[in-house]
Amino acid sequence: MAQSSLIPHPSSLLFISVFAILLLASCGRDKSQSNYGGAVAIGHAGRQPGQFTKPRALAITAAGEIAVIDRSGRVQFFEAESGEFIRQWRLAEYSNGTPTGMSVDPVNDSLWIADTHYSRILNYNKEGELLFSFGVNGEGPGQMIFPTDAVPDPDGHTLWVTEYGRANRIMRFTREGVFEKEWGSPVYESDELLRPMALSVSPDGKSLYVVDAGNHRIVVYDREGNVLRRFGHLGKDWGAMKYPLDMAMAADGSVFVLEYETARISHHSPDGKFLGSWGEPGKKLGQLFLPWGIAVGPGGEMVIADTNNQRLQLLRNPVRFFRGEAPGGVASAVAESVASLFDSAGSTQ
Amino acid sequence: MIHFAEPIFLWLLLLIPLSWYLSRRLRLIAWGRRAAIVTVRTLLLLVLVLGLARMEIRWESRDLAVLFLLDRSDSIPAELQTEQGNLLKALSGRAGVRDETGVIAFGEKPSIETPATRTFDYEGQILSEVNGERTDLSAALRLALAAFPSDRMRRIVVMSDGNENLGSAVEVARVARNGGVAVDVIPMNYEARNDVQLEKIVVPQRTSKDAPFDIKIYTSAEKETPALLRVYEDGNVIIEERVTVRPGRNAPLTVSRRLSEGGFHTYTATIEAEGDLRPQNNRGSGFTYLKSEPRVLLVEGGMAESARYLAGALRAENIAVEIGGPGEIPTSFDRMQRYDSIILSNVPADAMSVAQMRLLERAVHDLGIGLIMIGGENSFGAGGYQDTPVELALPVSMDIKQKKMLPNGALVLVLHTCEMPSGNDWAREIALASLNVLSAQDYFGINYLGMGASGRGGWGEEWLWDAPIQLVGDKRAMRTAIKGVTPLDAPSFDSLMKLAADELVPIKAQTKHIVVISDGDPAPPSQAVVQKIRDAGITVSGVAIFPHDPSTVESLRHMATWGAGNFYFPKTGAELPRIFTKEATVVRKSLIREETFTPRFGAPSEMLLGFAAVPDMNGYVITTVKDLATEALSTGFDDPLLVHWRYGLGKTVAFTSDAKDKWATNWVAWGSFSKIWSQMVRWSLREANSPNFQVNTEIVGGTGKVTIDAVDDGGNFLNFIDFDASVIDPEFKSVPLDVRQVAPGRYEANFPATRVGTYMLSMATGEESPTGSPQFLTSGVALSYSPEYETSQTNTEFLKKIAEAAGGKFVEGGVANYNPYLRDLAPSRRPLEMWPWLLLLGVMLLPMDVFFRRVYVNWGEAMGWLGEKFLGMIPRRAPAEYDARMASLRAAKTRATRDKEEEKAERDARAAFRDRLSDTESRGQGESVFGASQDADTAARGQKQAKPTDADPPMPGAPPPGGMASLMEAKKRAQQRRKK
Repeated sequence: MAQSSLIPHPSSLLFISVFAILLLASCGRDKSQSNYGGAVAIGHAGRQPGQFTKPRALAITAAGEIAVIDRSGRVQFFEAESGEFIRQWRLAEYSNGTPTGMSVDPVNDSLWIADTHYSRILNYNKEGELLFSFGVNGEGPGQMIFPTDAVPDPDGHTLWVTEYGRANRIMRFTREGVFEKEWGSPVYESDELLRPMALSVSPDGKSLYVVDAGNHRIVVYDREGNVLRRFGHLGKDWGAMKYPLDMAMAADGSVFVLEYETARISHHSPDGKFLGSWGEPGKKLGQLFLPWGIAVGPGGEMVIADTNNQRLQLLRNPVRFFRGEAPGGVASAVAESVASLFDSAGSTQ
Repeated sequence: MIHFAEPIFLWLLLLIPLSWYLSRRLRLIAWGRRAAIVTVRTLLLLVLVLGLARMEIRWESRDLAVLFLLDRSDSIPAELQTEQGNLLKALSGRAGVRDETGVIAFGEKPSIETPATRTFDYEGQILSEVNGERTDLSAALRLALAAFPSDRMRRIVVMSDGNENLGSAVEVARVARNGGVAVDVIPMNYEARNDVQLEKIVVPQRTSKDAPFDIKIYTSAEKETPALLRVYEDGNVIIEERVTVRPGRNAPLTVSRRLSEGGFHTYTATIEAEGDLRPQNNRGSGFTYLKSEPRVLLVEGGMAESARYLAGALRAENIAVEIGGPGEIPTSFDRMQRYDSIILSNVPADAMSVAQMRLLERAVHDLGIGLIMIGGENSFGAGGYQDTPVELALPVSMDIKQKKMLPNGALVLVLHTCEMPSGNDWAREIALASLNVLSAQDYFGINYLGMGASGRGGWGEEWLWDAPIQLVGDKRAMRTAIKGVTPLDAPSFDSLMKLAADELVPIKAQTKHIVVISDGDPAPPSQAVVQKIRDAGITVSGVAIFPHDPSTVESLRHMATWGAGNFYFPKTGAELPRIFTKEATVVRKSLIREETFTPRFGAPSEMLLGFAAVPDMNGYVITTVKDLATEALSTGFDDPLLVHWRYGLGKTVAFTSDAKDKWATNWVAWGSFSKIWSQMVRWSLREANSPNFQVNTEIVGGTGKVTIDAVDDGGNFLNFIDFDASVIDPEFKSVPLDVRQVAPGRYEANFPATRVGTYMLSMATGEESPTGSPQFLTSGVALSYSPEYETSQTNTEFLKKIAEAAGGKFVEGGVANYNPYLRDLAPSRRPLEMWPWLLLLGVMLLPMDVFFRRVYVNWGEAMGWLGEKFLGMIPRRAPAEYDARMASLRAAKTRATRDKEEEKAERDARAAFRDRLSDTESRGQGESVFGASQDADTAARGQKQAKPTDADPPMPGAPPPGGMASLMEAKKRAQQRRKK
């Protein structure tokens, strides 16, 4: 009897609980404004340190620094943990256009930059000192016109370069710039490979994942250039992609593919199985506007060059925000906002 | 601190005491609960009323924002600009951690270099591009006022030489003061350096053949300087000599000349001195006009020699003809003024820039120069003249309306223009240029990588209008849509061109053409798409613009090769509209009709006086006669051949066939070929300048002043003349002139003259003016350099006035003791609107109000229960009297429950009785209703009384047990029936 008077009336109870949920939701919404999709933004448009004019190529160093090149030719560094600006320096030349690809050398934590519009590969240390550069403009073996990515192999001496001048090709150099091998298909003649835009080496070093942007797919080669498999096709469904421009390899060998036109990151297992997707077109956090670059850091954090939104987006724990269902459902939105609530509670800045 | 935007609603606070008064009826409720109800209700009312009254809380802010306004107009020489940068660096370095700094650069228009930010760091370069031909400090101040963050103390620091020549900064400075914004001024002082200036050149407006006249050149300098003077006549040097310019304004240097060739002549003088502060103010121009025999320019767009037929014919009739290619079309008024009529024979529209066409149209309209267009495969609509200024002037329209079926074309533009400066503006411009050429019967489509129709939902390949490729029809809708075109950076042409091919293939058009414009960066289309386009007979042209490096254009060149189209690589965007006009005409060659016809005479025309018949012709370009135009000849296919009309002060003629051995083979062999063409050309010639008027024009301080002296042939003043006058500015905009009589025979007018370039004046008198028949008059004046170069002094007084008007500091003698970040300003107040929060609070209070009124909570027990449940506490014993009261209450409740049960039993019994009654009736036993009812009643009562105490003796009059059994039976039956 005493207990029944405690719980006064079912309708009142319902009313109060709805009210409490509203209250909670409004708090949650407020937080998710700055933390939508689990992402935080770094920088905005401008020419000052920490600001961007269309950031494009990026990489995360072993020390947890995000390096990013924007159209002003600056290489800026940010703390991946806090998103704080650290330092910046400028490329020697950038008026023709800025690089599209940059990777970190696991050996000495230096940066390998594919200087796309100057037909060369640059190797800088983090302080902006040019250690080494090579590249001859041309169509012959070992020459290049538009290099798109330069990836140091974990073996410590190989350097992989993708290029699309007169031939869409993948080239193998030593870190000293000595040409070893190449394969690919000539431009205007074959559609086998159309614009290889990025390359990643699997953790075991045995396979190369190449972004075949024009064919909307990923091609996996062995180290000699034999095709092991292909995955992805043109489309907007899960598992399909539209103009992938960059990719990042997670420590477990799964790949994150950045899609330019569909403005999302899709996650695939090493054998090409679709695991999930993040992002949609737009200007809010968690949305992307014609993005160009992606990198995954040693701590599993992911950073995206949200190029036309003039910022980077950083996900500290990316996979939990990836979805495998059709977007737009109420359930997924609720799940997402609840997840973001917990995430913001967990990581107090 | 607290402020109400709608204080009238505060009267509603009176509802609060009213609610207290009304709450008296709650006195039966326990005190605590009543207090809670009243409190919540009071709060609710208070919150709602404050929200309605739009309560604001104003915070005082002592943070500071400083905006530096840098004068980047041309009057600030490079070294002063460097000094500006140094000052900016030094002053912005004095900012505190919480201070914000921003920079606005200004000339004619201001541009925000850096918005106010705490992390400002001057990198040694101002990147904003401003037009330096003017100084408009007022616009810069207005932008600064708008750009300030609202929640800070605000200061503007102006760095300028004070040579304002647009707007009024003092007024804006006052506005700033009223808004609590301080404006400090740092004057930019010129070094004491010499400036030699050519102030003006005076040339008589009119001269006579071989009569000597003087050209006067006025110069000035700060100190005595040796200089080199050059004088040009129509671009050729006539004088080159060393002169000495003395301090101040010099006596004019005089050059004597005489002219024999008629028309307009331009004189330009330049003066060069070493170490000159402003070389920009060292030139000046003037014109003179010599009346002469009519002179005609014949522009031949086809083979140069094909002009010989017409030129020969005109010369035979004593008309002076100059022959030239499209490159010969004048690009300035003074060059155009040399001709009395211009003939365009088979000249395509893309041979002229839009500005040139506008110049030609204005020259006809305002200067009275004649214009004749002769047909050919590159003339009229087939030459891309649709919707050009030239079409405006011509008596025929390029749009074909009266034809039911026309051979038509389909054009698709693939746009990737975002990589070039102002790329989206160019995208619009080229789309419009192409659309202008197309006719209503052509198909047009534009595709690109876009933002998606909704703006959200993803970017992708998209077509500009709903139907991908649409009949042009009424162009207005397309023009509106084109304004919204915003191409993004496409990674590849493959999907765009695949879309274009997919849509073009099923369209029924004679010619199908794709034009791709890009920096060449996107990946080329795949082989499958290339094959599809080639198989469908679609042509492709490529336009490369602003590539990252020259090798990227290769993909476009390659495209034009396999697409059998043209490849263009223009150096600037300005060439684009012309290229797209030309490319769009590819689908317009269908307007040419090559069939033999006999021209038919139409409306009577003075051009054809003396002609009753003309020979057959072999072809023409299809056009449409404009309303009000005279169609003198038609082709016999209901299309115009010779049409003319008056356009403004000038006359224009359209001859849709040609005047050479292609379509006019019979004409060139005809004996009257010279006569008919000379009649046409003579009709179009410009009317001569009236000898009754003497005009003087000069530009002083941004204003052009026109003086007209009017005398008749007998030397008497002409009064009350009604002039229809206008001036064409250097951008070919026509400005009407208000000409007023100021003295007998003297008239004056003013016009704004702030742009550098030539101003052409044209005047005509009306039919009713004292001159009798209409008289014409043209004249010109040039502004040789921007007013920025007129002075070489810092206008300190003006700058002081600005600082004074705004209540700011005028910083003299260096900035060592000046700190723009001093907090000597009134603190800024930032209003914080409270109503959304009040509303939220109200929403929260409302359910509480309902809760307290409707729900009784025994707080003691609730706490006890909570304690027992969650904290393991032993419930506190209730006091004895409480228990006793509870016991009596429970007893009362038991009684009430029992009463309810009895009532139910009684109802059941009645129902049972009614059942039995109906049973007996059906059996035909005539028992009294009342009796039966009484029985039932008694039975029910007996039951009722019997129930609580079963041991009670039966009441008198109770029915026998048999009756009870039958009742029960009746009830059972009734229940069974109900079940059925």
